[in-house]
Amino acid sequence: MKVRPLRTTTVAALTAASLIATLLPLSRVQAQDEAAPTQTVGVARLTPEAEAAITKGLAYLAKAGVQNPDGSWGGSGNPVAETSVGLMAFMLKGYVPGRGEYGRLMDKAISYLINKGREQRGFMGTPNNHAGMYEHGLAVLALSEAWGQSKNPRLKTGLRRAVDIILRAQNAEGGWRYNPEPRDADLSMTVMHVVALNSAREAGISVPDATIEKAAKYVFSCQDEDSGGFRYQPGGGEPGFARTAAGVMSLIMCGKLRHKSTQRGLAFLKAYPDRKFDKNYPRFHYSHYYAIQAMYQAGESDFQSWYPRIAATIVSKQQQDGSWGGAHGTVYGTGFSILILGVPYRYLPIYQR
Amino acid sequence: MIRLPHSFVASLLVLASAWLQAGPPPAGSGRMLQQLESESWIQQAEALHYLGEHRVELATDAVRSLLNSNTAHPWIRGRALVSLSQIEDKVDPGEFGKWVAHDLVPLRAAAAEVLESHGANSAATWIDILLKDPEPVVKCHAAAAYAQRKGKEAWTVIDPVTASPTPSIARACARALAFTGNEAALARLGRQLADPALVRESLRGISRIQNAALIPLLLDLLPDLEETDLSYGAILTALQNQEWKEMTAGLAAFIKSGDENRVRAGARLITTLTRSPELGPPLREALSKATRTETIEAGLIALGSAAMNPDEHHQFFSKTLKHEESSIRSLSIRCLAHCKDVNHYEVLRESLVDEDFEVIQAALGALKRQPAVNAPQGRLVAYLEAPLSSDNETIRALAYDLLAHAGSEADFRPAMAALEELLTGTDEILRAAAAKALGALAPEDQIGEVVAAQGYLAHWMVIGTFLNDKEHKAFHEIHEPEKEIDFEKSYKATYIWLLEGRSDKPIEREVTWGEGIVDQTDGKLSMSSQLPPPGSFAVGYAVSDIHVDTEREVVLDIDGDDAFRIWLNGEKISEKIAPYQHRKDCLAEDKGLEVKLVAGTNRFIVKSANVDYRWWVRLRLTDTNGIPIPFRRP
Repeated sequence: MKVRPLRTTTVAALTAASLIATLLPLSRVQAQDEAAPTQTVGVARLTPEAEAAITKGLAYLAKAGVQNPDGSWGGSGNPVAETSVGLMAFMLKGYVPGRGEYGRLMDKAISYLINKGREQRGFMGTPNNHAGMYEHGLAVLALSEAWGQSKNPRLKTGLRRAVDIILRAQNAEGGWRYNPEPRDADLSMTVMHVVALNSAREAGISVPDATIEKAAKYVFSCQDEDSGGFRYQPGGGEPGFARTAAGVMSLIMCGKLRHKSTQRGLAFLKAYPDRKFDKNYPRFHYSHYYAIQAMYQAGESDFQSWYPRIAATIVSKQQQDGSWGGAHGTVYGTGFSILILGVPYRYLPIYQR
Repeated sequence: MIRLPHSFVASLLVLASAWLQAGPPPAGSGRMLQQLESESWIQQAEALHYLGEHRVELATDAVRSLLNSNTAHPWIRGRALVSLSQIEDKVDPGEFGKWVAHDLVPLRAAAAEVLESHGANSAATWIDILLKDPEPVVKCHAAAAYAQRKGKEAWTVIDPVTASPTPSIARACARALAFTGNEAALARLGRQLADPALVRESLRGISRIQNAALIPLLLDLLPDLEETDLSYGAILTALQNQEWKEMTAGLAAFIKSGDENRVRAGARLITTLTRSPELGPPLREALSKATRTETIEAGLIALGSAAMNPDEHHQFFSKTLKHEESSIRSLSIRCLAHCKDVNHYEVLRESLVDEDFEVIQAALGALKRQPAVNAPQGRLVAYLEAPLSSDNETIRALAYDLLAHAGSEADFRPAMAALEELLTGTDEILRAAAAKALGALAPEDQIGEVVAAQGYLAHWMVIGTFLNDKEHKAFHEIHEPEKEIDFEKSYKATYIWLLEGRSDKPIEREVTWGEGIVDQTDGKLSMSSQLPPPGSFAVGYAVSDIHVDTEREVVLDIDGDDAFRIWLNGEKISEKIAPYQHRKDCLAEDKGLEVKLVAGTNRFIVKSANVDYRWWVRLRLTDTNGIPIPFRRP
C-alpha cells in the first residue's frame, strides 16, 4: 500500500489520511510499491544503489550529534537552510513528522523553523546574513511541504506570516533579493521565492495570481535572447547552467511549462556540455536540485535521459558515513543529494507533476 | 595638496570640539562660521541669520565679537545682537541696557526687536524707554514688542506709532498691528498690505506670526497677484505658517464668496498649498457657477489631484467634458483619468469623436491608463472606430497603441479586418504600428497571419545547427540538408559551447527538421530561438513553400543577421555576408530583388549563418508598387 502525501484542506481527506497512517506500522510510514502509480515516473527506476544511498544518507542525518538539540541541523552559518533541506530529505522518502523512526526529529526540525519565525516576527532566515532571505524561502518551502503531515498547531499561522513577508518583499520588477523589502531583485533569489510561494499556495495559503505572474515576468526578463539561457539579472551577466536550471524550474512552477521561454531554457540545459554532470561542477547541488526537477516536469523522455547520469554521479560522491560533502557543509550536501537522488519517490508535493 | 584657509581650519576645530560636547551642530554651521568673517555685509547678515535661527552655540563668541566691534557696520552689529539673543535664548540684563541706550539707531532698533521675545522682567522697562525713542524705526520695533506682550490692550499705544507707515518701518509696524489683532489694527494692517510700496516689507514682518485673523487679510491679496509676483510667494509662506485647520476654514470661506477671482485664487492655492479633500465640495460648488475659462481651468486642476478624492467630483468632470472650450474638455478628461470608480470607456466615448485632436489624444491617453479588463472585450475595434480611421497620424498611432494595450484575443478578428489595409499598404511606419497592435491581440497560433498579410514568409521548416566559425567557413560548405531536402531525415552535427567557461571541443548531436515559426509581427524568423542552443558559431537552413495561382514577377526584400544565401526553386538568387562585429548586430540585406514565381508551389531555401549575438532572417514579397502579393501555403 502506498501512502500519498497528505496535502489537502478538507476534513474528510485529512481524516482518511490519518486513518491510513494509523493502519500502517508506526515504526515506518514510507513508500511501498504495490499500488499502481498514478504518474508515469515512478519508484521503479530508482536503482537499488540509489535507494541504499538515500537510506544511508538519512541515517547519517538522524545520527546522534548531527541534528542539534534545538532541532536544527548544521553549524552556525545557515542553520535555517540546512534544517529546511534536512527536513525535506526525510519527507522525500515518505517519512511523516511525529510518526515512526524519524518522526520525532522531524517534529523538532519543524518546531525549530516555526520558532525562528515566532522570534523574528515571521522572518525565518538568519538575521544580518547575506543568505537570510534564501533561508526564509527554503523554510517556507519545507514547512509548506510539511503542511498536512505535521500536527504542529502553529505551522499554518507561522507559514502565513512567513508568506506575507515574501509577498511584501516583491519588488516593482517582480523579483526578490537579499533583504525582506521590495528593493532590488535577482534571478536566484526570485526563483527560491517563486518555488516557495507555489508550494505555500498548494498548502492552502493565499498567494495572489498577480504575484506569481509578476514573478514570472521578472524571470522572463532574465532570459538571454540569443542562447535561451538565463542570466543573474535582466541584461546583466552571462547565461549559465545553474541560473537556467533555476529559471526554468520557476517558470514551470508558475504554470509556464509549454511557454517558449521555458522550452528554450530546457534546450539550453540539454545542450550544455556534459561537464555539468561532473562531481566537481561548480554549484553542483544548487544547479542539479533545480535541473532534475525541471527535467522531471518537462516529461518522461527528458527525465529518462537525465536522471541516470546525475544519480550515478551522486551515488559515487557519497562518503563512507553516508553523508555527502557540499559547498555549505555536510548537512547541506547530504540533504540536497537526497533531494536530487530521490525525485522518483514523488512523496514531496513539489515533486509531483 | 589642498591648502585650506586658517579660518576654515579653525572653524572646523571649533566645530569638532563643540560636537564632542553637545551633539552635532547643523550641517551648514562650519560654512556660516567662516562666512561670518567675510567682508561682504550681505554674507555676514546671512550667516548671522543662520547661526541665530539654528542656535549654533559654538558661534557665540564670534557673534559677540562682531556685536562689540566698532569697525563693523552698525546694521550688522544690530543683526549680531538679534542673533546672539537667539543663540543664547536670553539677554544679559547687566549688559543689555547699554544697547537700549546706545548712540547708534540700528543697535537700539535691534534691541527693541530682541525684546519681542526676550528681556524677562526688565523688558517692560526697556520697551517703555524705547517707545519714547525719537527714531520711528526704534519706536515701531518697541511697539511690536509691546503689542506682542499686551495683545488687544496695546492698541492705544500702537495706534499713534503705526499711523503713518513708511517702507523703512513697514515691517515693524505690520508686526505691531498683527500682534495687537483688534479690528482697528487689522483694518490698518489690511491697508498697509494693500499699499504696493509697503506690501513686501509688511509681509516679511508678519510671515511667521501665527494668527487666524491674518488668514483673510492674506487671502484677499491673492486675486490680484500673478504667481510670478514676489509677494505671491511671501503670502504663500505666511499662509503656510498658519494653523492647518484655521487655514482650511479660511480658504473655504474665501472660495464660498462666489467672486470668480477669489475662486480662481483659492483653487490655485489648493493646488499649490493645501490639497485638503474637505475643500473639494465648496470649490466644486463655486465652480458650478463660474463662467470664466481660467477659473474652471484652475478649479479642475485642483479637483483632479489624486489627493482631492477626484472620484467625489466625477460628475462635475463629466459635465465640464462638454464645455465649449477644448482645453477644458481635455483637462476634464485628465481629471477623470484619476477617478477609480468611473467606467472610462463609457464616459469618454463621445470624446473620441471630438472635433479637437487634443481632446481625442487626451481621451486615448486616459483610456490607456485604465486597466485593460475594463475595455469592451470583442467590441474594442468598433469602439475605437473613429480614432482608428482618423486623418491625424498621431491619433491613429495612439489608437493602435490602445488597441494593443486593452484588446483581447476576442478583438483580433475585428481588428484584423479593420487594419488589414494598413498591413498591405506602403506606409512602413503605419504598417509596423498596426502590425504591433495586431500582434498584441493575436492568439499565438495566428500571429503568422499578421506576418503573412504584410508579405513576409511566415511558415518555415528549419534545421540546424552546423558548426561555423568566425570566417563563416561552414557557410561555404555544403551540409547534408542542402544536398536533398527531406523533412523526415535527421543528421549528425556538431556545436561548440562558449558560454560560462569555454569548451572549444565540438559536441556531437543529432539534428532534425522542425517547424519554424515567425512569432513576431516584424516578420523576422529568429534562427536562434527556433534551433537548439547555442546560436553562436552556427549555420542553419530554413525552407518555405508558397503557392501562387499564376506565374508572375515579384519583388523580394531580404535581410538578416549575419549571412544568408537564398535559392528559389533550386536556383540561387541571393547571397550576402555582413562584416563581423563582436556582440553587435551584423545586418545583411538585399532589397528590391526582382524574381519570377511559377504558378503553383515555389520553394525558398535559406542558408543562414551566425557568429554570435542576434541571428535571424526575413523575406518579404511585394509587387513593383510595394504592395504585398497574395500567396498561400500549398
